[in-house]
Amino acid sequence: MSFSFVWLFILLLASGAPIAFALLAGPGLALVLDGEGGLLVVLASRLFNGIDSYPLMAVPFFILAGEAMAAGGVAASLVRLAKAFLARLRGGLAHVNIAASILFAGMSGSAIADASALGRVLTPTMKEAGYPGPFAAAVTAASSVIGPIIPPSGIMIIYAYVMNVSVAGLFAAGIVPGLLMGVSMMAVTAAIARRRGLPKHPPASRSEQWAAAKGAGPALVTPVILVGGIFSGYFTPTEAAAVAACYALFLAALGPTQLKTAGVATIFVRAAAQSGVVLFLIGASVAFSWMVTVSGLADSIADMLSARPGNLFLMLFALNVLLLIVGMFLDAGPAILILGPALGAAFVNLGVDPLHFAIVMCVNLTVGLSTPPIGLVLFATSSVSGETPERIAIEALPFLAAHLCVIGLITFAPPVALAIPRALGFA
Amino acid sequence: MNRSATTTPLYIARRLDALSTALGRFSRPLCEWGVNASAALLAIMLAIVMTQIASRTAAGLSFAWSEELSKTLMTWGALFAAPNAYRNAQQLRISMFVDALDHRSRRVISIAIALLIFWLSGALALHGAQMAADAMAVRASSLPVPAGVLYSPLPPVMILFMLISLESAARETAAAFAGAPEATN
Repeated sequence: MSFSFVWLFILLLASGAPIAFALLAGPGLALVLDGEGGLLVVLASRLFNGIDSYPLMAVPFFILAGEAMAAGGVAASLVRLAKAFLARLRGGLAHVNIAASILFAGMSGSAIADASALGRVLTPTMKEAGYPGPFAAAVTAASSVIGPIIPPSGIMIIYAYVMNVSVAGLFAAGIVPGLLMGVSMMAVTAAIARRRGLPKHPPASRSEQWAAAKGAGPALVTPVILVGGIFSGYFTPTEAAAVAACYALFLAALGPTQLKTAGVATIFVRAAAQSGVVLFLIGASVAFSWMVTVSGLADSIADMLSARPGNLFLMLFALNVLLLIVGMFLDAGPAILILGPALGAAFVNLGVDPLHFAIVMCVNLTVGLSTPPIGLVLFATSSVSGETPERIAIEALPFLAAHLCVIGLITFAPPVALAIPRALGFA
Repeated sequence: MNRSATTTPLYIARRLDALSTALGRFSRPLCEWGVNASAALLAIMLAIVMTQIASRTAAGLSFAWSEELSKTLMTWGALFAAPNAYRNAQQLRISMFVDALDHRSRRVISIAIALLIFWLSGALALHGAQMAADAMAVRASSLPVPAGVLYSPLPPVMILFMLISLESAARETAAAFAGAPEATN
């Protein structure tokens, strides 16, 4: 079987075909051209069975939880909490934006959900307070990529499913890198705030801080349920996602927004529509990765890398560059599904810890979401803020540099990411 | 009607446009039904998983069928919702390279992609039906139905993809014959 499916896939991808169909049509056409048309039945079977997985059920449940939290005003309560404690700093609202992203990351697991929900609340507030619009949008975009790093994380569930690593272990590996990204962004913000003279806000009184903490309390229980439930072994990640979705729906129905039946139905319809996109893409990617395996492409790449191991340091550096470039053009989910099996096997053969490779790949691809030209987060933030993606991308450069430093740290100092999974017995 | 009237580009454009509209009359409600059905399945999945957690916690009971049923519902839900995303151009794609081309080239590429999806969906519908038929003799592992039933949504969903892609190809071709700058969904 030839590797022509790869070229056909790239051609279709560049032609603007939906990625899910490019993933199916590349192998499909190649099978027909190679006279193996009968194997199309395997493609159909892989498409179906690629979706038919219990661990993957966490994906629609987390999407549902994200939709419910967005509709239920959770983002606003988190912003109030962060504002009560951080707004008094110079450039305080930018710090609030980052802190709210870290808090929201513990609930949603999606950068787009984070950018849309927090961007809608914070970008106009920052603009009104005198922050430049593109800067406000850039902080939102750059901080939203923390969403899929701190558990729970949609892309980590996909990675764990494809690469057969522990979801809980991967979640644990994401905690320190996610927090480091937040802290490094705050350091960059502090420097920018001093240089540009960004505004300070009057400090909140104790009673205001208490009221904000009380308001956000019910939302802050979500990460406790999720992380506590998964790490204690009480829930599987799928069950934790279901509990989070139920809890978020409960908050939306009984919280300040008091959603009625029609509102709840809308949440389910929106979540189902989004899940359809993601899951169909996963099914198509599984069909494509079957072709990668049977054609011998995965083995060829693994052999090529193993035959010339060279310096592991340099290979990891090259991996980072490759993943960042891929992340600029492809969404993290499909990139993991396409590249994960080939690259993961090769690097694990070279002695890299599977969880270490996983976290490096997930962080790189997630950071790619906020880089031009394709960065989905840039477009989501642009649509929320009204600023152009180009201006947002330029303002986000210092934050991108901070993210790259964190990537360097977790790549070349594995204990940074692996300390918690090791302590919990996952690595 | 004379011969020239039936072969003019405008006439062809009108016929193709009518075809696209007729196909749209079928595909649009089916797509909307698919998303609503998918939302209902999501709610049922959630209820099943929560029931499983509650029964395990309260009575130490675990239902063997709950895992297979809920993941089957998810697969069906994903398949039911997917055509709507394609019809409304919500599926992820990289458009930066084609956006750099002139509108004629863009249109040719978009027609070619729609026809390719038509062929692929047809092939997958056919093989999906074969797969479901073959699995009718096998029993699902924990549900009291033949495994073929679980695969049964694949062929109709693929046929819906065929309808949508044909609708899209007809619309784009009609626009090309009419000389319109850009057809939209």
